[in-house]
Amino acid sequence: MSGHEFEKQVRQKLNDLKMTPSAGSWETIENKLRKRKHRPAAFYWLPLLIIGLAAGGYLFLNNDRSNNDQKTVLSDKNSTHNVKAQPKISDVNTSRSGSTRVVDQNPTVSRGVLPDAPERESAKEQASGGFFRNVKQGTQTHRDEKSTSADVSSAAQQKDIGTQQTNPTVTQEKSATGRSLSLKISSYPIGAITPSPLIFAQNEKKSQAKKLNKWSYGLSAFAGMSAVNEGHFLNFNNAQVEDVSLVPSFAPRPSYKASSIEPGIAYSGGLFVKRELNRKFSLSLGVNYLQLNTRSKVGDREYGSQVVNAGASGYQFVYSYFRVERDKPSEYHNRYHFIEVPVELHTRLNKSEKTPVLLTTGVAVSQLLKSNSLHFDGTTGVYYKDDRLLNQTQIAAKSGVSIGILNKTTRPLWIGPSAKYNVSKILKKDVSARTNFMSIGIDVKMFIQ
Amino acid sequence: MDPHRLVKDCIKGRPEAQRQLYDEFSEVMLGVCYRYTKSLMDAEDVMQEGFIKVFRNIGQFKFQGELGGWIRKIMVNTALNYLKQNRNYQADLSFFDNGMHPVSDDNPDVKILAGDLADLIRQLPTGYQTIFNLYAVEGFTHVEIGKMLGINEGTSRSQYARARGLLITWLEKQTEEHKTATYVRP
Repeated sequence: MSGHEFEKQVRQKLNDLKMTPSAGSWETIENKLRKRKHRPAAFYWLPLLIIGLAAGGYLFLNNDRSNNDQKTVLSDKNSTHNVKAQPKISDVNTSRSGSTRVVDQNPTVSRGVLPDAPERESAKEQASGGFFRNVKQGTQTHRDEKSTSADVSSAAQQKDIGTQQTNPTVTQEKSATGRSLSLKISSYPIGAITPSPLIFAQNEKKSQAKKLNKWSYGLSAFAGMSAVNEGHFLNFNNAQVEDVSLVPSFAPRPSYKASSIEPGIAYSGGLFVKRELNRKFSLSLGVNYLQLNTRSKVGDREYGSQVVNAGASGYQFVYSYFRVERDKPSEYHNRYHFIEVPVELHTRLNKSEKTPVLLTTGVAVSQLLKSNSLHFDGTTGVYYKDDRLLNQTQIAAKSGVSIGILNKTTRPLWIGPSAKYNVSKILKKDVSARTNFMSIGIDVKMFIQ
Repeated sequence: MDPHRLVKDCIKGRPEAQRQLYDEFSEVMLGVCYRYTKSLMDAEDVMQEGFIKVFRNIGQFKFQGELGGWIRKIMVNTALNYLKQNRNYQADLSFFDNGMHPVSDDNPDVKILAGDLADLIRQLPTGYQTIFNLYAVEGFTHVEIGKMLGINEGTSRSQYARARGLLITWLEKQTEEHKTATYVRP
């Protein structure tokens, strides 16, 4: 009998070994499969959902604004009709109707009544019963018929809409209505005079504009350094490429020392939406592409079948790998590509409108897209690539200080230093869980609106 | 069904194809997992986890070998992982060469049934059991086993020799007991 006859017999017998699984075994597998299948989908859809919501919100607000504009125009038209229905006052107002814009449409208010006063004053006065005074002033102004009609005519000449048709009427009516108005107004009971709907429309528009200013969006970018810390927070000393081989602690093993990890560049870019909560706080949400880099020392690259002990995944064969090199190591750049969704709270530290200083705190959830990072197998002294060992989802805490510049321009900037610490470990828990990412650099936000 | 079609359907995530693949290989794979564990319940856990890995990674199967062989590798891999992580096995998963067990160069005939042989292998200490399965049944070399388990090649070799010796002793003892039991006094 040959030397391996026993093994042959054993192999033949055991290869035929079949056992029937329990009845519920397939159901267990199926349930686990469905659960695991659904999880990653959320990570792919989440950024799209956020972008969709942000775009939808923006469109909704814009649409709302244009609707308000339309409402204003409608209310202007209505007001014209209303004025016509009130003959005692309409004599003045009708002559100035026909424009689509609120201010221009009521030259009695903008020109004749309050020639120098801004619109807010008319609102103030309106609140304190000043409307009657406006009308009275308007009446006084109209006493100078020539100048008023000249003003109205010149204003009408600057407009395109319907003015040429109304101008002759205006001028003609002036002489008749100017006089009659003073008589009629003076005899009009104060309590019966209601403020013009045009002024309400103006105020409504202004308050809408204030509300709309709460939302803004723009581009965000970050550039700096990313590093790996080991053991505890801010410990950057002696961070090494993690040995992913899982060996019982009592077993003797060959000893290979892994390379240390050096910091690399980090950068990100994306979009954000910000909402003012109040004068002091604002909240922003963004979607960024993020790249973190680290550097390690490796030996020559080799091609061929090599078994590696991949921790929780057991063993596996790799066909391209790097040897540990002590004499002439070359530098390897580990790149980690993420899609990141940061949620940040901005706290205003000063009251300056020109150069606001802000404290930013927040969290960022990022999903790994791709990486070329190397893992170390301490039992064979081999570096190899396997994305499956990496923690696919990273949660980071972020903090920074920024200063607002160019605030008087159309493209204000927030710029300042920021630091980010990834609470999640780089590798999966069942492989190794010692190292975390940390990045530090300059954060910039440019507001488009 | 054509294996290519079955694999393609599994890649698409079709449940009926996954069920068909499971029905095709589950009995053999449970036999594989049974050899590496100490209880049928553990074996079934390993097999279930193995099939989940199979379905999640079936896109990586490139028809460069048999589908059954590929699934078997995943099962063995999953079983090794299970042994390393499960506390019940960790204590027994010792690869120290304590030299207590005899070494045998004999090549006796294996006359017992496959199930009985598997039960004997499962009675070996977990370290012996694992190395015996990897070398004698799966056909890995000691160099490969050393790398898989993170031990020296020599340790794997000596552990196997002792596992083999112990198993042969038990087989011979069982054969003798069988002879005694079937002996009819004239």
